Amino acid sequence: MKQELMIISLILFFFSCEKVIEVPLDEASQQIVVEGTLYDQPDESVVKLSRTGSVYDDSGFEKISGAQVTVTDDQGNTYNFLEDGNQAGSYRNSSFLTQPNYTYALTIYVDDDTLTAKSSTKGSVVLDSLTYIPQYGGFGTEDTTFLVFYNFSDEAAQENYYRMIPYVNDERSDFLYLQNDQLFNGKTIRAPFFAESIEAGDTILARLISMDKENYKYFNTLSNNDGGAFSPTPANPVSNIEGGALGYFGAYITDNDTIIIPE
Amino acid sequence: MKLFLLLGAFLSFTVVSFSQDEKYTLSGSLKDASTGEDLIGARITVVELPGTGAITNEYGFYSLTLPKGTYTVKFRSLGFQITELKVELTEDIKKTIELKPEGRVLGKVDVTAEKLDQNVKSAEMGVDKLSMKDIENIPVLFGERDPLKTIQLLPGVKSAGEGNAGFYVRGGGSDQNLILLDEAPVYNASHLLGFFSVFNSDAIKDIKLYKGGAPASFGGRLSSVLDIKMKEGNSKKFSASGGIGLISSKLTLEAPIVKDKGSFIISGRRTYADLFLKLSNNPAAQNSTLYFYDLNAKANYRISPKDRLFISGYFGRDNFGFSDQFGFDWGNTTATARWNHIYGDKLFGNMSFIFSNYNYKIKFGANDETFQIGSQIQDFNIKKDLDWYINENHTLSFGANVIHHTFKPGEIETGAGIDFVLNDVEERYSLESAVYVSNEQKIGKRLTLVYGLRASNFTQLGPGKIFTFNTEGNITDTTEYGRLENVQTYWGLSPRISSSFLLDEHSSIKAGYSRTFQYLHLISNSTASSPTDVWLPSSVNIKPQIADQYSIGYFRNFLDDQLEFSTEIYYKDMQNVIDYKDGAEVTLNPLVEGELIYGIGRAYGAEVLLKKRRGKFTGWLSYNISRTEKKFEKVNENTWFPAKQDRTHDVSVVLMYKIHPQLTVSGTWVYYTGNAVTFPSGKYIIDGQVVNYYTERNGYRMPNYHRADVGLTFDHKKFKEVTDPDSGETKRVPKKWHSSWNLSVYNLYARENAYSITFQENEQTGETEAVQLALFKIVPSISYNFKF
Repeated sequence: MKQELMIISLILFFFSCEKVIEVPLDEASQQIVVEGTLYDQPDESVVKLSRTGSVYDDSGFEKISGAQVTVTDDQGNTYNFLEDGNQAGSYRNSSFLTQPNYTYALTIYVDDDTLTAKSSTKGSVVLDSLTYIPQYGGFGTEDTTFLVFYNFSDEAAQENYYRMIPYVNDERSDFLYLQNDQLFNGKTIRAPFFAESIEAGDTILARLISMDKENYKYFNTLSNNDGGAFSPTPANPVSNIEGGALGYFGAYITDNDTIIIPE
Repeated sequence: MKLFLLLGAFLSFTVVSFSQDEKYTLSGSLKDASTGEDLIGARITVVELPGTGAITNEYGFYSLTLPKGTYTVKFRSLGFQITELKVELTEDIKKTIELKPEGRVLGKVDVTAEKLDQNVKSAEMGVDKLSMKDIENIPVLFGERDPLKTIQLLPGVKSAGEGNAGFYVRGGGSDQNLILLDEAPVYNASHLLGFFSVFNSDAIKDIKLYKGGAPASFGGRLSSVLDIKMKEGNSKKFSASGGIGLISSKLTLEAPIVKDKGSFIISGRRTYADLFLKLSNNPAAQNSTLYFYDLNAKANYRISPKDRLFISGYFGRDNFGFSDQFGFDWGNTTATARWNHIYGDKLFGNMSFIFSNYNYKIKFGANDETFQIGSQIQDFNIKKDLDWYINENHTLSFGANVIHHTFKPGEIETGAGIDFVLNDVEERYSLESAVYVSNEQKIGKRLTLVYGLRASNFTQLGPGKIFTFNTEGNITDTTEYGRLENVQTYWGLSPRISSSFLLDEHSSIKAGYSRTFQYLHLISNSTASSPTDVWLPSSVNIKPQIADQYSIGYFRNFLDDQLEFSTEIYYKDMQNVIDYKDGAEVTLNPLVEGELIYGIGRAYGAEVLLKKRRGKFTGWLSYNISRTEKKFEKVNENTWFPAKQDRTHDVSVVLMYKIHPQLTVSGTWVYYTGNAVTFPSGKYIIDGQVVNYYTERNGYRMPNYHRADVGLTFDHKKFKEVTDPDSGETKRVPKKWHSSWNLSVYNLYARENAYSITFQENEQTGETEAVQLALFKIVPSISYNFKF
């Protein structure tokens, strides 16, 4: 829980110290990494293929070219995703758009491996509004900052899972804001982007992404695997790719909203 | 019914012979002459009959049955002068004895020749006792004396982490310890995420840790029982004590209700780090809170020579609030009401009513627009225990208890300004009951046996919607149960036996076996102790955890019992051990049982303890070599892997030296092998982030841990010199006001012990680095303690 992290950082502020140390690590055999994301906006859907690297090797990750990538939906349509000439390892289909309540299947042929995955979209979503409240100072800062809240209504008939991505002045946040409707089924969900530092005059674009349970599980386990003292035993995120690969495949329905904090 | 037949059969094995040739009983209670506190575990021996004796129980009661005759009976307890009593035993005699604390004799140094051979002679194994004196001088973090930190210096007990009050016993998890405060279980013994324990040392009288082979009267946890007893309060006169420390202050008041008949004690403690926040000119900081407090209270009254009542309670709470937007508080409440009754001279009974509650609340939002999540576990417990001092060779203990547990995993409240109502996570109810019998039997002069049986039952009760999960974690069945309807029942039969065979006056061999059951399970998947950890009952999905422990030990005292040496070897087998699926979501999840996996565990090791208990120079050296492993079908391809708490070597050295009657220096040094930990063996990129790739759970080791602490206690003079006007002699008169200064340095040589190691990208270079977080590099502290 992030709140606990806040407490602990307060307590330990005067005592703790961080340093970089040498830790010898084993070399795992290389794995294929799939990142397949299908959106309801043109030119956004992409399947990225790469391989794992050594922990201490910083020469970048090997991209996988020459794979055969197809997506089929439950209405019998097949879409070929072709490698982007400008971006090795990225496979696109510019005419592809997700539809609400469809199931999509991904098939990838790489060398001798066949990888498959399935993902379903949920019903359409509307990001109702973005609101903000000023924060007069905080621990360690004297300036007024703003806490931006996102507000949207959950669809009661479905089990829903969400991710929010804020872009503060076009800068995409790295923080994973995840929500599910286990406690809020059919209610209004209102929560802050608490990890962002937002000042007067900033423009915040927020994207609401509705996803299936498997994708939520993936991102939820991804956000918990740093191995810190307040995280669970780190583990690979729970993948929905079959056939021996890391990563995930998701089909999403989205909505955007923007707010500008007045000066 | 079957159970009672079994018990009956068991009892008939412990055939007790009643020889009716004239025997009489000497019984009564043993007390501290200065405060009236009961003396627990004091030894009573008979000079004329070597090898015969008794030990006071937890209420200071003793009973000794001897043939008719004249005897010299010696009463002895650690830290007290031996008292001798000549008795002519021609009838049953009741005698309350008061022992004077040693070292308060004018001008004399400690000269007691007390035989501290209890460790060799008793059949108890894997038991550690701590006196508050041991705790007083040992240097600790922030100078906050803490029983839970001190027990971590004992062999076979390991700290759950830097500065952490949590502990592991013989490979067990930190949730497998039954922590009792005046018989009430304390479900979360940590303040401030484990850096402090909930036990205020000023209110505590006695601590006993059973690492294996706990008596049959205890049950419900797999690995250990930590039995903590609160002081009764001074029944002689009013007294107060307190301390002012760097981060907290405390005050204890005790006084007789009616002299020698009843007394009370009340003790409070509060931290005040947050008061500094008020000095800030930042409004958010001013409105923030961060503190904890505890309150211990106890009263007792002797209504008749045979009846005594005790009421005790604990209340403690941690509070954290950030601005007015966020609040988080958690704490335990326990209450115990007890009634001691002595039936005749040989049968001592106690009836207890016990309440325990742990809860936490997290509140978001301000004014009307609030949203609060809470969770709690609550127990009501009725317990009856009887000790029957049949004769000098048999002491039979038996009893029964019933606990009603209520689990509220998620209670949600919303403020008036929030226009919807949220459903709570469903409550769970269960009933945990047990009957036990245990006998201590002396066979000849050399052999002592303690054997017993505990039969327990755990029943999950309705109402509720109960989900059954398959091994994949998917729901296979949903059944709605009515109020008090039986959902699932488990039975547990735990035999226990321990024996001691005296080789000679100074050495013995002991062996033991015990089986334990644990019906409640702590669901926590983070490394540090967290207030949001929840307890879950055994259910249709979660089976009770079972452990079988075998141990054997050799005990020897040297140099007129000044030096105690002991070594024990143990092997422990565990079944239905719980772990979590990769990335399990355990907080506020109504389907949390689907996130668990079940496996087996084993732990084995050897412990060595060398202890010096008397003289200017005291202390101990403890060493432990051990292994703790687990096996789960879905983890590491169903192979044995080291548990987090698997530490090969664990060494503690504790030294205390009394340089001068007023000055004591102390030092501790600990060393242990780093915990088993999961590190990445590769990395990849996803969602624009570099992510670690793991191939094996707990496949790596943290760096080895070592640390030295030192302390210095300066006592102001306890006596003032007064010249007798008649004789001109100088006499020393005890002062009323006693005070002392305590200085300590935690982590003296500023070792940066790794608390966590994370693999992350350097923000400038983009290179992946192993970043070690170390806490408490060097922490000096000072405290002032007083008593009058």
